[in-house]
Amino acid sequence: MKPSPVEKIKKESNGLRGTIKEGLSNDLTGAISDADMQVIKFHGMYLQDDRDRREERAEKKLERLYSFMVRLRLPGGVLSANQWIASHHIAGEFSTGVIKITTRQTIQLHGLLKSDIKPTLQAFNAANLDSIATCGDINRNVAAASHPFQSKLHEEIHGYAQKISERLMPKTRAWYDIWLDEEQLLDKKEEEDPLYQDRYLPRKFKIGIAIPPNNDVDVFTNDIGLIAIEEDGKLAGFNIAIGGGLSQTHGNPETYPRLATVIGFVQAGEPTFKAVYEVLTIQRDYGNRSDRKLARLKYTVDTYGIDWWKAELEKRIGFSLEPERPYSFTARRDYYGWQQGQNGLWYYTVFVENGRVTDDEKSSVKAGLYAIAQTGKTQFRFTSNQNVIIADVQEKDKDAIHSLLKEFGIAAQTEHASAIHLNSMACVAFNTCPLALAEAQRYLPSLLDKMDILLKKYNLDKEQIIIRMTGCPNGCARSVAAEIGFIGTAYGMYNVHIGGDREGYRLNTKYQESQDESQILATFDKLFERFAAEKMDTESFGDFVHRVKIV
Amino acid sequence: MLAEKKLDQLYALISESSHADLVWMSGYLAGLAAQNIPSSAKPITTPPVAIDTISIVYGTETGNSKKAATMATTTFKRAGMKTRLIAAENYKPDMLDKESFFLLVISTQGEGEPPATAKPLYDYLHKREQPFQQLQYAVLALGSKSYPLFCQAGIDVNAQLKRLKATPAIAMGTCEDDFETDAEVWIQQLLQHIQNPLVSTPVATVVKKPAEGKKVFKGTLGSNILLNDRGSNKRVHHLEFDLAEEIVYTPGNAVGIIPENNPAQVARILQLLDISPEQPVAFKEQTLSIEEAFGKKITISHLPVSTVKKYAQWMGIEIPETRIDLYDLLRIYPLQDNNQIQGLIEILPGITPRLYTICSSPATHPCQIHLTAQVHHFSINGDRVRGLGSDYLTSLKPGTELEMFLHSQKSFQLPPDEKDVIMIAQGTGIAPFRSFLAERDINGATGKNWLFFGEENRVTDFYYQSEIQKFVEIGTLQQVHPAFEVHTSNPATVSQIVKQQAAGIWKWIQKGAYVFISGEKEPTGKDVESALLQLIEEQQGITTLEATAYLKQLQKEGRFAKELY
Ligand code: SRM
Ligand SMILES: Cc1cc2nc3c(=O)[nH]c(=O)nc-3n(C[C@H](O)[C@H](O)[C@H](O)COP(=O)(O)OP(=O)(O)OC[C@H]3O[C@@H](n4cnc5c(N)ncnc54)[C@H](O)[C@@H]3O)c2cc1C
Ligand SMILES: Cc1cc2nc3c(=O)[nH]c(=O)nc-3n(C[C@H](O)[C@H](O)[C@H](O)COP(=O)(O)O)c2cc1C
Ligand code: SF4
Repeated sequence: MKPSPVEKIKKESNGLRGTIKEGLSNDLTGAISDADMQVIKFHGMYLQDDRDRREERAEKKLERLYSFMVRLRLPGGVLSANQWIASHHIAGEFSTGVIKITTRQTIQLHGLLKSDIKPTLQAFNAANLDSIATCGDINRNVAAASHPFQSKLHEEIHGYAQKISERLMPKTRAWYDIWLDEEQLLDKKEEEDPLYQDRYLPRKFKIGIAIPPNNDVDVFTNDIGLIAIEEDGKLAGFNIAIGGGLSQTHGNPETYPRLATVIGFVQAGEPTFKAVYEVLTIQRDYGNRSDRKLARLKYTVDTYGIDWWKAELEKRIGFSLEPERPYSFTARRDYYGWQQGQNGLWYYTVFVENGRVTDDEKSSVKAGLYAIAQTGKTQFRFTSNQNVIIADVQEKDKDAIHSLLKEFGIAAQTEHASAIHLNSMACVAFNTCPLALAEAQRYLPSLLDKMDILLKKYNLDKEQIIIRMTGCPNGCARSVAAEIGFIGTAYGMYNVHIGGDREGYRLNTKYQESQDESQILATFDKLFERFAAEKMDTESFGDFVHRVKIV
Repeated sequence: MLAEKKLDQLYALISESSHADLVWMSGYLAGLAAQNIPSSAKPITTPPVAIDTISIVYGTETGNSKKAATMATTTFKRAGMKTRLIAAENYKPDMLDKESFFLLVISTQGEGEPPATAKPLYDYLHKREQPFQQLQYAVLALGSKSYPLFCQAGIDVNAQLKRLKATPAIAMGTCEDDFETDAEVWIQQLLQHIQNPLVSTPVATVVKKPAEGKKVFKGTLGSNILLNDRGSNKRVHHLEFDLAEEIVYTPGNAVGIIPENNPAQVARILQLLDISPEQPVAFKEQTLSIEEAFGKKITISHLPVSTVKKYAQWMGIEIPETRIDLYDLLRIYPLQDNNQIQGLIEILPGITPRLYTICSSPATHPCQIHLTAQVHHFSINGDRVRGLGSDYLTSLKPGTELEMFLHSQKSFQLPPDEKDVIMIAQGTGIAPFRSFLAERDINGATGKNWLFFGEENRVTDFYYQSEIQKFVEIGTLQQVHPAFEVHTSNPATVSQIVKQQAAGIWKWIQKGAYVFISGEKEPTGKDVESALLQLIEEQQGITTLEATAYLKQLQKEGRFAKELY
């Protein structure tokens, strides 16, 4: 089968350089060439346009309002106070101003004009931040359990996230020479890349590390999921799961969401790194390079089978996988408000609706976080639920921080939000996502308010139901891994999925197709009524509809 | 041969005549014979003076007066006379006292003003007090009947020369839009007069044209779109008019429109005069209400100096020579009573047309005319106001019917299909080039096209961006060099980009490319022109003077043209 066009582009990109430099100085358009669009992803950016403005610009005989989205590389999602201050200013100067916390513990800026990319990345670099390989057919930002309070392994695990991210970085210096005007190396040997070669991976690749009992990273939705196994107080190693991925294409039966399969246990340290590395080389060599819709690891796993994979992996790592070790997840959530970590330090998890850090009539999260950062007394940790943790606060500074949280309405927003708001996520979708079929982050909050009314009606308003909405079936807010998932099919229309569990072991199932808001509300009026009447005491909504076979 | 009776009379006359008389008579009779006009005609009084050299001075904006002056030069040379052809900007006014014959060809610009190049000479004549000893002169005025102050600059200089006791050889000639024929006739009459001054020459007005000026046609506004996106500092509109009839025009032409005055301003004046809006008045052989006259016909803001002067004379008062709004004029120098209103209206000029370059192409947009109009802003003692014409035009609602006339710039024309074209535009200067490109595209012109476009903001001010991108994709436009100051990695002005591209531009020019500049005169037009001069100078390794000559030559050949305003 003939390789997809993107394969040719990668090969001919001269170490992910393409013609980006030339493209930046071409003022005929705010966009870049189609080939460079593919290449620039590997630098952590996407070419987008403001979809709200298309008609208006067309009438003015102007091209689309092109801009770029940049995504930072933050293994484990940790940012220092100074780095937050830097990001705050960069967002204000060059982007829409909104700092978007993503579902993989990093931040994105939107609306960067072509001429603003360089200054933006140079400013990030000055703050020791980069955006290398946060997009593209390569290993993405490595996610890791975000909250230190449950486990003393937390810090050690974050070390793993760092190392894995670094070991799986591309060797090319393209990012530095395009964006920082770094001297191009004469000796191209130094850019030789044994892992990615000049082909990179067939498709994007994601790794997440969970520390039981909380599965906040949604470990099974990753291409590689690592489950930390703690034995007598120390990290023994990881259960390794492969082949997770949530995307599905409307009307393409060959595509499906899949949770990762645990294939065994590896010892901590080198064995773990080696195993992870070789899973990538196998996917590199065996992944489908002709049909990008079937190129994710999950399809390669199902094509060759788990046994083949184990054998091939053991052959490449030179040792055999141990049997999976026992573990159990009891939750998949953020713990809001103040918590004390195993290390004695304090942590305040802020509820940021859909990860949009900005100032609005309700609260001033952006101004507040900025003020808090300026105290220099905290770190910032992003969660896989699009929230931020004011982290590593000393006992003595706790009150000062808290009065700031109060002053800027952050405490109120976090403490007064309803249970479903606190447990929900929505992807970006309109106005920047080119693939969006329907609204998500701009719409979910108002829908949740209406669902809250229904829940109150049946005294269910304390139920911690996980509700996730995405503007298309790609599932960026992991909508198929939720108790209730709304998946956009057309503007204002959603497929309704229900029956996922609370811990992340079970995906949901499609219940109804292409529903508008009134239909959705009618549906849940009935479902909640029955749930209230028939639920077993601690039974979750997802487990209930599954048990009584509504789906 | 004469009858005997007549012969006797002649001999008698001769015998009584001095030698001088005889010379005079012979000239007179020769003249009569040449003219074969009735012998009752009395000779005019101008004494014959020996003419040494004819100095032909021209003041021009777009080159027509220069053409006319050149026509005169060749005519006189052929007739064996000495001539000197000089551009007004190079003419030293104190030369006038030494001239034996002074021929001035001058056009009118703006609102009855002289061309910039002739302003010094114009002012000199107005300021000079000391009369000329013995200066023979003639004035040929170029203008257009579509402007209320027809040939005003010519009229003014002519009046000043008279005031200074210079002797008009023949009455001033006026030329309409296609000036060549008018000019030709007048020049012939001047030649005759110079050859036999004793013969009176009929006044050289040409009755070839009705006084209405250019053919007026109607367009119905289809759409009126603000081209600038949110956040821009500019307001440039794209207007599309549908025409009832096909109007023949060529890319590079402009249309003239006559704006209406601001109703509030009209109301203020009527209030000041304390007169009913319905009060009928006569303006240009037409009776209408004073409100309509002031609203749609008469200039009421920024009156030309010539008008202010007329008012002063008419009122018999002193008013400093300045431009002033009618409201202020009437406030500071009020009429004695409202019986004078008709008199006032006789003095006031009609509303001056504003020109807008057509940005549509006859072939691509049949029966349509598209314009690119920028809302012109300026400030009057502090507050920012909008220009009358541009505000009127850009505020029109779709469905409105608008009268317009064609204004053709002979020099600003597309070359043959196989020629290469370099187009340099600033802001609304893109208009003629949109027309050029559309026309060349649909005609499958084989010549290459290169566009330079300058504006402020890349994201909000890139006029016709999507169309320009299409022309690039389909290969009509080989090169595009935008110049923006905001939202670009290379902030620059058009003239700077032109300098950056010097080598390429020079290659094209040497291969015979045609170069066009369009848009605002200050500063861009001037800067681009000097950038071109510098480029020619450097690339060719010649002096500034030679470069200037080179560019002049291109201009002569129609290979370099400007539409600057
Ligand atoms: C920002 C984010 C959603 C959010 O609101 O947080 C996001 C946003 C986008 N995702 Fe995603 N994805 C995001 C997490 C996910 C997840 C969830 C996860 O990884 O935990 C998934 C489902 C898991 C998976 O990968 O299967 C996900 C599956 C996709 C897909 C489908 C991939 C596939 O296998 O087919 C696409 C489309 C594609 O890659 O062709 C996609 C593409 C996109 C793009 C870049 C659209 C595009 O390709 O042009 C979206 C940019 C929108 C914008 O304007 O910012 N995104 N995307 C998340 C960024 C995570 C990060 O920091 O890296
Ligand atoms: C050949 C040619 C082609 C053109 N093509 C275009 C085109 O394609 N697009 C385009 O937008 N323009 C074009 N123009 C310019 C256009 O014709 C007008 O000159 C322009 O729109 C400004 O006219 P206005 O009536 O808005 O301003 P006006 O009201 O005429 O004001 C012009 C100037 O007069 C002075 N002024 C006016 N009123 C007052 C007052 N009350 N007090 C003090 N000062 C005053 C100010 O200095 C002001 O800047 C072209 C001009 C020419 C000659
Ligand atoms: C902007 C503009 C204003 C003009 N104003 C007048 C005017 O007030 N009175 C007039 O008689 N002609 C006016 N004309 C017409 C010109 O005088 C006429 O086109 C003439 O041929 C130009 O000669 P030139 O190329 O030597 O300048 C105007 C032309 C333009 C372009
Ligand atoms: S789920 Fe679809 S709509 Fe939402 S961000 Fe991802 S790609 Fe865009």
